[in-house]
Amino acid sequence: MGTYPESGQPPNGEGSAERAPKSPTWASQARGLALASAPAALLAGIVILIVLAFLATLAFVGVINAVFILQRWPTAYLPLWSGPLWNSLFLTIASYLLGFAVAVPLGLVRAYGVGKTRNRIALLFYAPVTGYVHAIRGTPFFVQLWLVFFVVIEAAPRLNVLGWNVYFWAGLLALTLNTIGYQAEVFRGGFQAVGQGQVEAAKAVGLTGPQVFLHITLPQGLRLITLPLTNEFIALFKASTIVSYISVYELFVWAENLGVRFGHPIEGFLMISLYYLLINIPLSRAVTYLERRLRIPGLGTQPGGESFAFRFLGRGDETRRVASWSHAQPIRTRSGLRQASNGFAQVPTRSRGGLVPAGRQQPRDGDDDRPVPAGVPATTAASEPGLPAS
Amino acid sequence: MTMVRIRGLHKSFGSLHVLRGVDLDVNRGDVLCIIGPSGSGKSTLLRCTNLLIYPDQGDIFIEDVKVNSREVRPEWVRQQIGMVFQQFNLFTHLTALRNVMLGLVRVKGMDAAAARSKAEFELERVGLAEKKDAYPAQLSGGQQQRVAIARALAMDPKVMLFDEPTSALDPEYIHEVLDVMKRLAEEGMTMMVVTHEMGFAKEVADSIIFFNQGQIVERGSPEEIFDRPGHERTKAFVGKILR
Ligand SMILES: Nc1ncnc2c1ncn2[C@@H]1O[C@H](COP(=O)(O)OP(=O)(O)OP(=O)(O)O)[C@@H](O)[C@H]1O
Ligand SMILES: [Mg+2]
Repeated sequence: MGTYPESGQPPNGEGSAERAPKSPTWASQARGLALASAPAALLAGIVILIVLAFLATLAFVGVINAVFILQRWPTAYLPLWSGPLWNSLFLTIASYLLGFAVAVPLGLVRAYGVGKTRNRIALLFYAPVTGYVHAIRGTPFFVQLWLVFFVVIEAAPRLNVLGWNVYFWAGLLALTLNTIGYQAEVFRGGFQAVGQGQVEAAKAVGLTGPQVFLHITLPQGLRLITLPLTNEFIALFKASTIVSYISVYELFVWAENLGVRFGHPIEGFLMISLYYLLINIPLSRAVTYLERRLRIPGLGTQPGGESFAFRFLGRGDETRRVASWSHAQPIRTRSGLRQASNGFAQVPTRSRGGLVPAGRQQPRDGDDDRPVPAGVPATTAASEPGLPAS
Repeated sequence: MTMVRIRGLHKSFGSLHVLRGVDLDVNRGDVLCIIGPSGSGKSTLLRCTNLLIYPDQGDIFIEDVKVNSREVRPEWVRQQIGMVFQQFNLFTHLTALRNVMLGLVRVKGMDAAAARSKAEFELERVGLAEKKDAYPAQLSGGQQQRVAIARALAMDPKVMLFDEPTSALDPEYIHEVLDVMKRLAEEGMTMMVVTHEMGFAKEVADSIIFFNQGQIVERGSPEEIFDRPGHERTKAFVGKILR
């Protein structure tokens, strides 16, 4: 009997693996640039050049003060352990991890509280958890933040624990409560995407319910949701700017201060934009790399051909995933079974909420349509309008 | 000696009365084949036998121990009953070897080294020693199903349940799975097999049950069921699948 390597995978998977070696040399990348993806790479290069040229022009005509940027650069992260960059990162990481811990059980409740094989305990909590998830996902984070803030301020106005004041705690709490709602849905999707047949097979071998979860559902579910979980982290990091509204000294406030105090708003916001990019892009690249390294045949997305240009821009996998979503349809395999060509393809039929594991698809409310700082009630301790612009 | 004894088994899903009083005995070392139309409750019967679902009424005995009782842990029962599914249901994230090892380590509590050699032995038995490091997606359907059989056998079950083990296979792979099952029967394994592979049933089964609408219509030797069925329903069904 023959063997069928990677049966059930689209044929493009193997070919592209050859084309894209694990650690491409500059020569091979240059060749790839020249041959395989010349048009896309050219386009990417042109776009980057245009942006750089635009910024250079702005600097040249004096709209952007390059000297100022270079001078102010370190103050965003110095001192390292209490600077605005650290605060932004800490708020994000802490709320993300807290949210993760709470979201796993909530995702379980959401996944197993309905359907034919529903679990009695999950059923008990299903209604409140579902209500919570809907409440979080259905209201703007901005509103949630103010609600949490006023509740905390009412309850414990003089709160000061671990050296953090009441504003910081309120911000952390709001971010955590928010990410719980989103992560719970990501986990629900991941758990539901694990085939019920495998759960049954594990039980038939004699595993207990918790063992089935630990050894089957969780490891498979986590592999299926690495991408949406990463997206959630990035979304949360960006959303952390909003807690500046309740006087938490993080990157946004720092940049705003530069504008208010020294009259350099463009420089400030350009600089923090760079900080967000410097963290988000490598992060998503690292996750993509890990995902590929830890990939298991037949589980999750397939490795696909991606052009040099898209890799260079750090957009390769996302772009490809969107493409593979659109033709994620069952394919005929050698075994005669119908399998999904992509690990998520089973989800839409199972979940009532649509393509759930894709995670947060849109920017958080309030993320984009925040008004310009002017006219905002005293958000920052350091906004002293009287200071002359430098 | 009776390995499996089922008495007065009833199971409903909501208003759907699926099992309507099933009485059944399977002796040690016997192979029982179950045939019957789709939706008649064959899978439900097997899944009740290893307590993947609990019957509403009736008793199930494995070696004279009543297993559907509050005092008996379902995991203890399932550990002694191997089950093979139509869709293989291998654990996607584990290699063939790890699929077989999981129950040995987590249920039987064996240490990794012992579990590994036992799992290698079981894979050898189904002719897949050299496929031990392959993931399920890298195996053909027939190979996947044989890994599934090895996974069940590794637990040293007293009974093996097969729920249409070859229905999802391309014709070219059916024989390799049936061969493994035949060898198992020759080795004296007690087996309950839902199948429509009449050749297999004729050759291997000690007795055959025709199952219809949640009840055993008729039980007999392969000759009795296939050549001179006693009931009209059996005759009609056998006529249809033998054609
Ligand atoms: N968990 C469940 N919840 C509700 N109804 C169920 C469930 N499992 C099975 N049924 C129903 O019970 C009936 C018998 O199902 P079962 O799977 O036992 O039939 P079967 O004889 O194995 O059929 P097939 O040959 O198609 O596999 C079917 O009508 C099925 O829809
Ligand atoms: Mg069935």
